[in-house]
Amino acid sequence: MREWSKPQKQSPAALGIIAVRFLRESLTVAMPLLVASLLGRVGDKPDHIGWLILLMTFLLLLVSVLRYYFFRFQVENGQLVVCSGILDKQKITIPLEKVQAVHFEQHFLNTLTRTTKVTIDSPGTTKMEVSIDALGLQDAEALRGILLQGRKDGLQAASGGPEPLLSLTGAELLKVGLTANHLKAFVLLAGFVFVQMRDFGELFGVEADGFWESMNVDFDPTWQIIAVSLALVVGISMLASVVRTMLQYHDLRVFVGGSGITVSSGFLRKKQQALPKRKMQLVRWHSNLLQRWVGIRLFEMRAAGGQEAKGLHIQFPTLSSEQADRLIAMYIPDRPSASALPRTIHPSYAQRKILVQHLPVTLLAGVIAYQWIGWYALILLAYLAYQSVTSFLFQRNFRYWSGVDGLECCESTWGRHVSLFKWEKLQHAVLQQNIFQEKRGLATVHFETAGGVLEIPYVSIEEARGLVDYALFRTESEPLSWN
Amino acid sequence: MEFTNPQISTDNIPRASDVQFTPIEPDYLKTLRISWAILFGMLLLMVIAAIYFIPALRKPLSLTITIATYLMLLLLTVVLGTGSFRRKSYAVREHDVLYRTGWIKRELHIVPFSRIQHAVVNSGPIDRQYGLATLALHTAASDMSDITIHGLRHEDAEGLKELIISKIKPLQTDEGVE
Repeated sequence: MREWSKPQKQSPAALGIIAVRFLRESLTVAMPLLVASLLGRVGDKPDHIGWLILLMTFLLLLVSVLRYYFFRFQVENGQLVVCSGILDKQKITIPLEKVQAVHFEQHFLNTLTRTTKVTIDSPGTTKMEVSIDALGLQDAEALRGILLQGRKDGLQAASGGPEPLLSLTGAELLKVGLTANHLKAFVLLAGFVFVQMRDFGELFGVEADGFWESMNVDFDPTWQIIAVSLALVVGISMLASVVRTMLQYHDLRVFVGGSGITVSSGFLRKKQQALPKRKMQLVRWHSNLLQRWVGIRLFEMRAAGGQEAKGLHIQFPTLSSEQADRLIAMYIPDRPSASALPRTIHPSYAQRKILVQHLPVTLLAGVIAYQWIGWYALILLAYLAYQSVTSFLFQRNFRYWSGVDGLECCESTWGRHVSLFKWEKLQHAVLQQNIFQEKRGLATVHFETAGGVLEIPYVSIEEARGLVDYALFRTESEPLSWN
Repeated sequence: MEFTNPQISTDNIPRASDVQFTPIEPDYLKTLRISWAILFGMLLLMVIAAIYFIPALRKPLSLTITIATYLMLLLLTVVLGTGSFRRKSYAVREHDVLYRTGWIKRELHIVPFSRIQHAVVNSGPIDRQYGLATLALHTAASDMSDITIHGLRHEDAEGLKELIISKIKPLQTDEGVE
C-alpha cells in the first residue's frame, strides 16, 4: 500500500500511456502528409519532411517521458499537492474540502495494464483540474477514499453498495441507442468526413468545392438518386448514433448512497464518476420526442469544475419514473412542482422571437439565396414556419415552479428539458429587460450556478423581482454552503 | 420524522428594486471617448490603407459602402456607449453587491458576498489619468459572467474591495476554507 503523505509517482504503465498518446497525436497531425509521402504525392514539399516529422515525434516522446518522471503527487495536511513540469515547474494545491468529484476512466491500455486514469475536479478554472494518467485500481480506490473523506459527507456509499439503483439490460441499452439524438451523430459524422476530405484534398490538389467538376462526370441527380442518398446518410447516421450510445452506456451502473452518486459505464473507454450530493449544483434531464414516448430521460448531475466552461456534468439514461424520483429526491427532497403552482411565460415571447430573430434571418438568407437559386429561395419560408411553430410551442409549454427550497423549470417543444436547482446554489442573479420588455412590464431572469444557468424569459417584472428577491433571501439568510 | 412545510411570508423580504444606486464617476465618459477615438482612429487608418492598396475598393459603390459602414459603427458605438454609461450604477447592501448596466438591454446583476471567490481592482493607463479603476468580482458561476464595475474612483474601488474581502473572510472561515 502506498504512503500518500510522501511524493508518489504514477504507475509505470503511465509511461506507455503517455508515449502512445503522443504518438497518436503526432500521427493524427502527420497522417495526411505520411499517406501522401507513401503514395509519392507530396508535390513541391521537400523530401526531408518525413525525417522532420520523425525527429519531432522523437522529441515529443522524450518530453512525455520526462513529464512522467517529474510528475509527483501527495496528500499532506488535508491538501492534495501535485508537482509537475520539466523546466516550467507547476505546483497545484487543492484543499480536500474543495475536491468536487473524483472520476476513474479506463481506456484500452488502462484495461490491459489493470490501471485507471484518475481525474480530480475542483471549482474554478480548468487549470485547477488534476489528471493522473495511470494508477493501479486498488491505489486509485484508496486515493479516492482519502480525497473524499476530507469532508463529513464523503462517498462511503456508492460503489460499495449492494444493488445499483440503475443498470441496463441488453434490450434496454438497444432502446436507449435507438432513441438517441441521431441528428447530432449525423452532424458529428459529417464534420469529421468533411475535415478529413479537406485535409486529403489539399494534399492531392483537389479543391473540396470543385470536387464534382474535377471528376468530369456527367452528374444528373434524379429524385431516385437523391432519395437513395438521403436514406443512406440517414441509415449511416442512425447506425453510428446507436453504436456510439451503446458503447457509451455499456454496463451502466448507477449507485445512489446517502451522500452521493457513483456512475460507471463504457465499453472501450470505461468511466467511473463519483459526485458527492453536497457538490451537486444543478440537476437536469431531457428527452427527445422518441424518448418521451418510451419513457427515457437523460439525467445530468452538474457540479462546479470539469474541463468545459459549463461545468462538470455526469450524464446517464433512466427508464422509469421511480428511478427518476429517487434521483431527484436525493438532490431536493421537496420538489417544487410537487408543492407549488405552475407558472407560465408571456405570449409575446413567441412573437418577439419570430419578429426580431427568425424573420430577419430568413429575409437575409432569402436575399442571398435568391442570387444563386432564384425563386427556389422561397423554400426558406419552411425554415421560418418551423421556427415559428417551435417558438410558439416553447412559449405555450414553458412552465416553472418556484418552491420553498428551489426552482424547477420545464421547457418543451418536441422534446422536454427540465432543470432543477436549490436556492442556496445561486451564485449570481441577473434581471434583464430590453426596450420591448420594459414597455410591456416584462423581464427575463437568469439564475447562475456553478453548474449551469437557469433562464426564465418573459415574466412580469413584479414576478421577476419577486423571484430574485426570494432567491437572495434564501441564499443570504441561511448559513448554507453552496459547495 | 415528522415533515413540516409551513408557508412563509414573502412581504418582508428585502427588495432589490428599493435600493438607492450610486452612479459611476462622470470622468468615465471621458475615458470612454478617448478609447473610442483611439479605436476608430486606428480603424480609419486601416480603411485608408485598404482603399490605397485595393483598387476595387475605390469604386464609388464600394467606397460609399465602406464609409457608410464606418460611420454607422462609430455612431452606434458612441450612442450605445453613452446610453449605457448613463445607466451604470452600483449599490452595496449588507449581504450583496448590485450593479446596473446596459441601455438597450438593461441588466441588474446581484452577487451575494458569500458567493464571491475573489475581487480584483484594475486600472488602465487612460483610467489612471483620471484616477479611475475597475472592480471585478469573481464567483464560481459556470459561464464566467462575473460583475465588472467600471468608472470607480481608485480609492473607492480599493475601499469597496476591502469591504467585500472583510465580508468574505468570516464566511470562508465558517466554511472551513483556508
